[in-house]
Amino acid sequence: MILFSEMIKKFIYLLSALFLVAQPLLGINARTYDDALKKGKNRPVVFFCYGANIDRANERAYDEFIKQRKLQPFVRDCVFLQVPVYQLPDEKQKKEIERLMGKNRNMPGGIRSLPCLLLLDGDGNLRGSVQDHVEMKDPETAGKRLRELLDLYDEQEKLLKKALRAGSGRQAKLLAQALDVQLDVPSSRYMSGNGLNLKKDKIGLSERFKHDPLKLVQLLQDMSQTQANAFIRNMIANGCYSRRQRQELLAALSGHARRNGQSANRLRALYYEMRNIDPKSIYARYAEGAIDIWVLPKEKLEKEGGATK
Amino acid sequence: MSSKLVNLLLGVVAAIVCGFFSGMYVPLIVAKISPPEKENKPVAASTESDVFEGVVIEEEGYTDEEPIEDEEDDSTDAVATTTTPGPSGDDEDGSVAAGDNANASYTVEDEKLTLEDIIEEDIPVIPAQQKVPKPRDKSYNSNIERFAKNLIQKYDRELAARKGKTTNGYTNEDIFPDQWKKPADIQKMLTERIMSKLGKADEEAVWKFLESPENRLDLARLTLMRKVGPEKMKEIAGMKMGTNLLFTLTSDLDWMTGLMYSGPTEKMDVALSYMVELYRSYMEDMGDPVVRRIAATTAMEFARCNWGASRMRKRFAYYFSSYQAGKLNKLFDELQYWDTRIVTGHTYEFGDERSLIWQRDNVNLPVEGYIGASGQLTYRLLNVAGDSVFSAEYLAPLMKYTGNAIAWAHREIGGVCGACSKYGAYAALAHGIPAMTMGEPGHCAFTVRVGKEWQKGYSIYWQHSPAKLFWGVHAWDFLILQQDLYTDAHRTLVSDQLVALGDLLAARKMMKSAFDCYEAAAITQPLNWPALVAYASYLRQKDPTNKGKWNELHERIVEGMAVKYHHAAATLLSRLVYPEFLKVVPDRRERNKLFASFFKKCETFGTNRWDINELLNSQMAGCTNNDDKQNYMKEALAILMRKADYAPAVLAWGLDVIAALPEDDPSTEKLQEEFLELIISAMNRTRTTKKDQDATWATLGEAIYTAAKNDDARTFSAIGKMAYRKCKKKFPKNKFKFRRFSGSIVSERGLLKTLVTLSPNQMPHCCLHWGVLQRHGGSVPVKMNSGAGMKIKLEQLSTVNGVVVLFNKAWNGVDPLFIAVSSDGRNWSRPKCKAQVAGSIARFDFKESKPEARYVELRVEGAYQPELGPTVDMVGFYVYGKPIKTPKDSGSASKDEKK
Repeated sequence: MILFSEMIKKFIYLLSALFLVAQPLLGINARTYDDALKKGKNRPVVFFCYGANIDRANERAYDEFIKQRKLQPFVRDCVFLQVPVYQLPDEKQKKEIERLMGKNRNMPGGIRSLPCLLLLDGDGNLRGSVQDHVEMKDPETAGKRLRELLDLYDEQEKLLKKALRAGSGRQAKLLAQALDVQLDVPSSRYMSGNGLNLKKDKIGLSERFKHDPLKLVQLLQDMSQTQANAFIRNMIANGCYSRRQRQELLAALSGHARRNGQSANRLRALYYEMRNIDPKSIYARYAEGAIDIWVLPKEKLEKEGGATK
Repeated sequence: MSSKLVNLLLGVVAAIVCGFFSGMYVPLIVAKISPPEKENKPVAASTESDVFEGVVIEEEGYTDEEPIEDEEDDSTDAVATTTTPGPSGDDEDGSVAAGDNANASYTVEDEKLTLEDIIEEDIPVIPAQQKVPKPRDKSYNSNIERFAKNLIQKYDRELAARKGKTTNGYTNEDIFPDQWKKPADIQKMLTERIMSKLGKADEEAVWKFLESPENRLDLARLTLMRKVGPEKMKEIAGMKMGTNLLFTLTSDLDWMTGLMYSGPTEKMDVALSYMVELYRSYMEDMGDPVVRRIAATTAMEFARCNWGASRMRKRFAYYFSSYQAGKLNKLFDELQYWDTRIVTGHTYEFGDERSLIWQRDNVNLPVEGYIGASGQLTYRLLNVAGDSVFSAEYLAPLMKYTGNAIAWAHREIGGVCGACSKYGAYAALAHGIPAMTMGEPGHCAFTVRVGKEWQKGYSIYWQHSPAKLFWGVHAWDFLILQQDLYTDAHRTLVSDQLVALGDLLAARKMMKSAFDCYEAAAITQPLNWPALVAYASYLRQKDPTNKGKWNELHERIVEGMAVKYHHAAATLLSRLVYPEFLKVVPDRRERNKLFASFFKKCETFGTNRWDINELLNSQMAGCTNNDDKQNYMKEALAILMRKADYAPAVLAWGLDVIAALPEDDPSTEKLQEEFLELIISAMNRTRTTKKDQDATWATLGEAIYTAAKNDDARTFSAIGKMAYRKCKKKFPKNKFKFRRFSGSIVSERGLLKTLVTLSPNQMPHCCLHWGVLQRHGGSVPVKMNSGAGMKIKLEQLSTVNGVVVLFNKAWNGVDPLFIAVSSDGRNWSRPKCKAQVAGSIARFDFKESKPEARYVELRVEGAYQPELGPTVDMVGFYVYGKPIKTPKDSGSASKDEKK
C-alpha cells in the first residue's frame, strides 16, 4: 500500500513536470485559416508564410523556424499557422492550399518576400509583418522583431479600445495615438459611411486622411518661400498629422527651399527637424542623405564666399 | 496522511519551478529584460571587397600579368558616398538614380538585318557541287522529316539514358591542352577529319554524320574555331590557364553544344577570353554543369553586348554565389543555355549587382508573383520633396543609405512606369527567372516567364518591344517564336547543326551540299529563324534570280512559320524574301497570288497584334505605277477587310498611303476618291448583327483615328458619318442646355485632333471624336500641355463669333482655359474674348474681336497635369461663326502641318 502510494506520487510528479516543461511547446496552433481566426478572437494571429518549392533558402528557413521549433517560444501566446506557398502548384498542392485557406480565398495580402511572418488580428486584417531580409535571417532575430510588433499591437489595441469608450473630449486624440503606433489599422475600426467614426473631431483628425504628398508639392510650387513656410507650419501646428506625414510636409518644404536657393543653415535646420520627428524612419535617412548631398557642399561654398546655387 | 499530502503538493510545486526554468522560457525572459537593439540596415560598401551575403564583389582571379583588354570605365566599382548626383557625379549611379528619362523612348529599335556572304576558302572547286538544286518535290520534304525524326529520337534516347545519373554527357579528350598552342593545326585536323567522314556530303552521309556524338563534338569545335580564327585562338591559348580551359571546354559535348547552339555567336574570341578568366578563378567548381552554363552564357552575352570584363566578373560572381547559396529559384536549375543568357545577360537598366542582391534577398516570391511585384512601388511622378522622377535628385538622398541598391531606393520613394516595370522584371532576374522589360508607346512594361509561358506585366498597349531578343527584331511574336523554337530542343539542335554544316560546306565551295544542308535545316525546324536567314542569305549570294528556289523558300515560310507566327513570317518575307523574289515576279497577278497565300494563314493576329504596315509596304514596293498600286490595295483590302482582326489595320494603312502621296500629282486625288469608295463599299457590305456592328465600330474607329492623324478632314468626316449611320446606338445624345452664339456651327464638318495616346480599349471608340463636333455629341478624353490642346481644323476659313465646349462633368482645373486661333496651323494668336466656365460648360465669346480662323484650339494656362487636375472627357466642341468665301479654300496648310 505504502509502495503503491509512493508510485502514484512519483507518477504525479513526473506528469506535472512533463506538462509544465511541455507548456512552451504548446502554442495555439491552428489547422486552417478559418480555424486561426476562430481561435484568434482575443489573441493576435501569426502566419509563417514560406516558399514550399521555390528555393533552398526557403526550405532552410522552414527547417530552422518550424522543424527545429526555434520560432515557437516567440509565438506561444499567439494563434499560429504555417502557410506554404507553392509556385506552379499541381492539383495536389492546390487542394492543400484550398483546404488550408478555404475556397476562393487568396493568400494573405501584403507579402513582399518569402519567408515572412504576418501579424493579423482576429478578423484577418494584416496589422504588421516581418519580411525584411535582415530581420528574417534567423528565428531569433525574427522572433524578437515579432515580439516588438506584438507589443505594439497590444498597445495599439488598448488605445483603440480606449478611444471607442472615450468621451468626445479625448476620443480623437486617443485615436490619433493609436494610428501613430506603426502598425496598420483596418479602416473599419475608425471609419463609417460618413467619415471618421468619432463623436467629435476635436483635433481635425480627418485632415490626416486627405493628405496627399503629390498635391502638396504641386501647391507649393507657385508659392513664395514665405508663403510655403507659413502654409506648412500651419499644417504641422494643426496637430492632426502622423509622424510620417509631418516628415512629408517638411520634405516638401525643404525641397521647395532647396530649389529656391535657400541658405545651407536653413536647409540643415529643416532636415534636422524632419529627421528628429522619427529618427529611425526612412525619411530620417532621407534627411541625412540630403544633408550630405546638398547642405555640406553648400556650407563649404558659403564659407568660401562662393555663390550658392 | 496529511504529511503525504504535503509531500504531494511540494512535488507539484517543484515541478512548476522546474518547468519555469526550463530552456524554453529562457529566451523569452532574456527578450523581455534586454530588448534587442534594432539591427542597423546595411550601409553602403565603401570598398569593393565588401561582402553582400556571400557574394564577394571584388576582382577575383585577375592579376596584372594579363591585361585582358582595355577596361571600360566601370563606375560601379566605386560606391557614391558624398558624390553630388547627376551627370557630373558617379555616372552609373547618376544615370540609374534617374531611373526614368522624360525623353527616352522605351521602345527598343530593331537592328538592321544584315546578310553576310559566306567567305569561301581558297581550294579547288568540285564541278559536281557547282549547282543549285532544283525546287524539291513533296517526297523530298517527307524524306528529310523522316531523317530528322530518327535523329531527334536518338538524341532523346541518349538524354533519357543519362537522367538520374551524375555523369556528364559525352566527352572526348583527344586534343590535349598543349596542342591548343597551335590552333591552326587543330583546325586543319578537324576539317580533314570531318570532310573525310562526310565524303561526298550527300544527304545520307550528312545525317549519318550527325548521329555520332564524336562527330557532333568535332563539328562544334570546328565551328568555334572558324568563328574565332586561328590568330585569336592562339592569343586565348596564350592566356594563363587558356589551354586548360580550351581543353576542358572542347572535350565536353554538352558544354560545346550550349556554347555554339544557344543563340547568337558574335565575338566568340572575347567570350572565350572571359571564360578563361572565369575558369581560372573558379576552376574547382567548373565540373558542375550549372556553373559551366552560368560561365558560358555570361561570357557570351557580355562579349556580344560589349559590357566589359569587370562587369562580366561581377555578374558571374553574383549568379554563381547565389546558386551555391541556394538563393536562386529552383526553376533556374532547369533552364537551358538560351534562356540562361536572358538571365545572366540582362541589361543594366536598373542598377548593378548591388540592387540585384537586395532584390534577391528582399523580393523573394513564387514565379507567378513577379508579375505583380511592380505593385510594390508607389506610382509617383514627383517625390515627397517635389523632385521629378526624371531628375537625379529624385532618389539621390537615399542612395547612400541603400548602398546604391536602386530597387530599394525606388521602393521607398516611388517611381513611374519605368521603375515599376524594371522592379518587377529585375526581381525575377535576381532569382534566375527569365524576364525582361518591354517598351510600349510612351510606356514601360515587362514580361516574366511563368513556367513556359511569357506573361505580361504592367502592360497597357498592344505594341511591345521586349528588350532581350536574339535576332534584332523586338516584337512579341519573336519572343514567343524564340521560346517555342528552343522548347523543341533536339529538333532545333539538329537544325542548328545542319546550318553549321551548311556554313562549312559553303566555305568549302560545295554549293550543292551546302544548299542541301540549309534546306534540310529549314525543313527540320521551320521555326528556325537563323536557319532561314542563313539559307536566304546563301541563295541571294549564289543565285539571286532563281525564281524556283525563292518560290520554294517563300512556301516554306508560309507553310511553316506563318501558320502561327504571322509577324515573324511577315518580317522574314518583307526583309529577306521580297527584295529579291519580287524582282523575278513581274506579273501583278502572280504576285498577288503569292501575297494571298500568306494572308490565308492569317485569320487572327496570332500570338499578338502586330503592325502589318511593313509587310503591306514591302508588297506594294513592287508596284511601279498608280494603277498597280490601286490594284494591289484593292486586293489587300478585299482579303483583309474580311478578317476582323486585320480590317481596322489595313484601313488605317491605306489611309496612311493615300496621305503620303504627293498632293500636286493629279492622280492622287483620284486615288483618294477611289480608296474612299473602296472603304465605303466594303463597310456597306457588312451586316448589322451586334457582333458585326462591334467589328465595324472598331474598324471605323481605327480608320478615323488615322484620318485625323493624317489631317484628312474629308475622310474623317466621311467615316464619322458612316459610323453614325451604321452604329447610331454607340453615340450619346447630348442633353446639355447652353446659350449658343450667332452664326452656324462651322466646326461640324471639321476635324478634331487630340494629344491622347490611346489605349487598345479606347481605339475602337474614336468615331466618338467625330461625334464631339456634332450636335448629338460624342466623347474624347481631354489631355493638354503647355504647348498644345484640343484642336479643331475647320472645313474652311471662318469668322468666329464664339466657342462652346462641353465636358462630361464639371471642370475644376486649377488653371484657366483659353482659346487660341490660327489661319495656317502654325502662327497662333489669342484673341480677346470673354471666357466663362460654369460647371461642365465653357463659353468663349468673341463678340468684340471676331477673329478669322481655320484652326481653333482649346488650351490651358501653364502645364496641365492630369495627375493633379480633373480627368474629364470632352463631349461637345462647337465653333459658331460664318465661313469666309475665298476663291480656293484648299487644304494646303494641312500638308505643312503634317510631320
